[in-house]
Amino acid sequence: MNDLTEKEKIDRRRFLKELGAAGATGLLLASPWLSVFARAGETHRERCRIGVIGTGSRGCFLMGFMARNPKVELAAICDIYQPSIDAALGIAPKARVYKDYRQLLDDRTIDAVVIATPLDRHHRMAVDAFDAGKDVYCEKTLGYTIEECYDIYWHYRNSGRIFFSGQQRLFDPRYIKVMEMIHSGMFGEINAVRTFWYRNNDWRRKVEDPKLERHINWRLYREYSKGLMTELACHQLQVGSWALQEIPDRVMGHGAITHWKDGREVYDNVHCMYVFGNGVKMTFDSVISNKFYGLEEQILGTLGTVEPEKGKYYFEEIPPAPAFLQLVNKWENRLFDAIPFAGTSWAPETANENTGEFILGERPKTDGTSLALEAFAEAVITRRQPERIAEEGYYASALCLLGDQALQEERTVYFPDEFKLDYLNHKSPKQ
Amino acid sequence: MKDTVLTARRKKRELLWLAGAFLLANAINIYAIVSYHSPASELLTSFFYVLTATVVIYLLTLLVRGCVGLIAGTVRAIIRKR
Ligand SMILES: NC(=O)c1ccc[n+]([C@@H]2O[C@H](COP(=O)([O-])OP(=O)(O)OC[C@H]3O[C@@H](n4cnc5c(N)ncnc54)[C@H](O)[C@@H]3O)[C@@H](O)[C@H]2O)c1
Repeated sequence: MNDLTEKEKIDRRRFLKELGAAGATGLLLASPWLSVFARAGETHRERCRIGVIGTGSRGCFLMGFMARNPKVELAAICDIYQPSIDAALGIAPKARVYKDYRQLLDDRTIDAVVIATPLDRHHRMAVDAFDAGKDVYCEKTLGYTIEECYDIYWHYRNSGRIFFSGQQRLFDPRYIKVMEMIHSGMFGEINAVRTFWYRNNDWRRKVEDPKLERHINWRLYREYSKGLMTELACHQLQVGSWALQEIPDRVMGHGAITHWKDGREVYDNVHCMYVFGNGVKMTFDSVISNKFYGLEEQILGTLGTVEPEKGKYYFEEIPPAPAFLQLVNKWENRLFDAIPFAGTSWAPETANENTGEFILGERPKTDGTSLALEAFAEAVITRRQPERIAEEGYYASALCLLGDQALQEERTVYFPDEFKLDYLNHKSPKQ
Repeated sequence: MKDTVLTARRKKRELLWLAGAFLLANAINIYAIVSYHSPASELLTSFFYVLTATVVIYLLTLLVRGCVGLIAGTVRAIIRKR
């Protein structure tokens, strides 16, 4: 469990405070959903009652944060797998336990649900939750198909309930800060976004009983999951469209199983290219047989580059090294150039290497999950859906699913008009 | 081991050499700033490099003076023997 250190709590408090202070205007323009915290000071005596559906690895991780939020009461849990129930009761011992999510939805004392089950179950559960009058925090990817995502979105719209998806980067201070910088033009014109997520493991979980293979390793089977696209790309594509303030209009790519030929049905090697109306490109790459490059979203502007996962940005033009070092370097080079066998012992150019700057002035510490959950609780209590949060979640899901379709059909897939919302560069045929 | 005595004169001379090295390092910095069109603020911000260079120059002078002294002493001893 990821315990918050005292330092992190203080940083978070400071961050929330800064949002309310002067200078927050730019942040709110880039990330308008942060307005959800505007009344955080007035709601400290209130509580919302949350039920968690699916208390596996992610569900318990989320519960860990909510258990420490005084504005949340973890009132109920639902799972069909006893070890998951036991783990959740370790976090919220007083929570009522359900084995059927519909019974949890019938519980009138529950205000909101967090859905953290495998992908193929999200749609049914989210739609039923809205129909039951609950607010919903649904883990990404929202649905198994773009139709399902669209249906969830419109259930949310018609129900007037609160709706968040598990896109925690939207609440990650370093992303929020850097998006403000990007939108202010600090890095110039953004012409490309390169996203990648590399790992070197089989993505399998240990299964005690072979009968449970598909239940535990659902990510590897197409009946339940669309693999790397729905599990990883979903986060990174959202970052790209957040930076560009635009939704790409087509995607092409290729996927294959090149290394882990162990009976899995989802690709272990994918590459997708999303193209925006003006020709700007965003790529997503994932290979799970090499982890050297890790994960990153590289946002490439004419004046600079952002690497938010590292929490850094780099300007194209960097100040030269101090004159003194340049001179010494010149002398040293002259001296060693004259001696054929000697190499430079000390190369002051390294002082010139573009090591960039930390977005928040220091190494990143959290990933936004705890703030996202706090925001959800705040929205449930104040009954105010923050601007754009549902749409960001919808489009992140839609984009990764379209990417998967492009990989499956090996063709260019255009964003279907019938699934567009009135959002950014899109016009909905329905609205 | 024999006690060695640093005379006041010797100390003064070493301090003068050190000051000379410091001046030289600063002169190099000024020359570099002018020839690379760098901001004058580097007179301050490069202070650490100037200090490092001062020590290096001083140690070099010590080495050279030591060598000169050694050679001069040897020559003197040879002449005296004759
Ligand atoms: N936002 C993120 O960064 C992030 C990270 C990891 C996972 N996730 C998402 O969270 C979801 C869950 O992933 P996970 O890693 O926790 O999977 P998991 O397999 O560890 O947990 C899923 C849980 O759901 C339970 N479940 C399955 N069917 C159910 C049903 N009908 N009713 C109630 N419970 C049911 C399972 O028993 C299991 O305990 C996925 O959608 C995944 O994409 C999001």
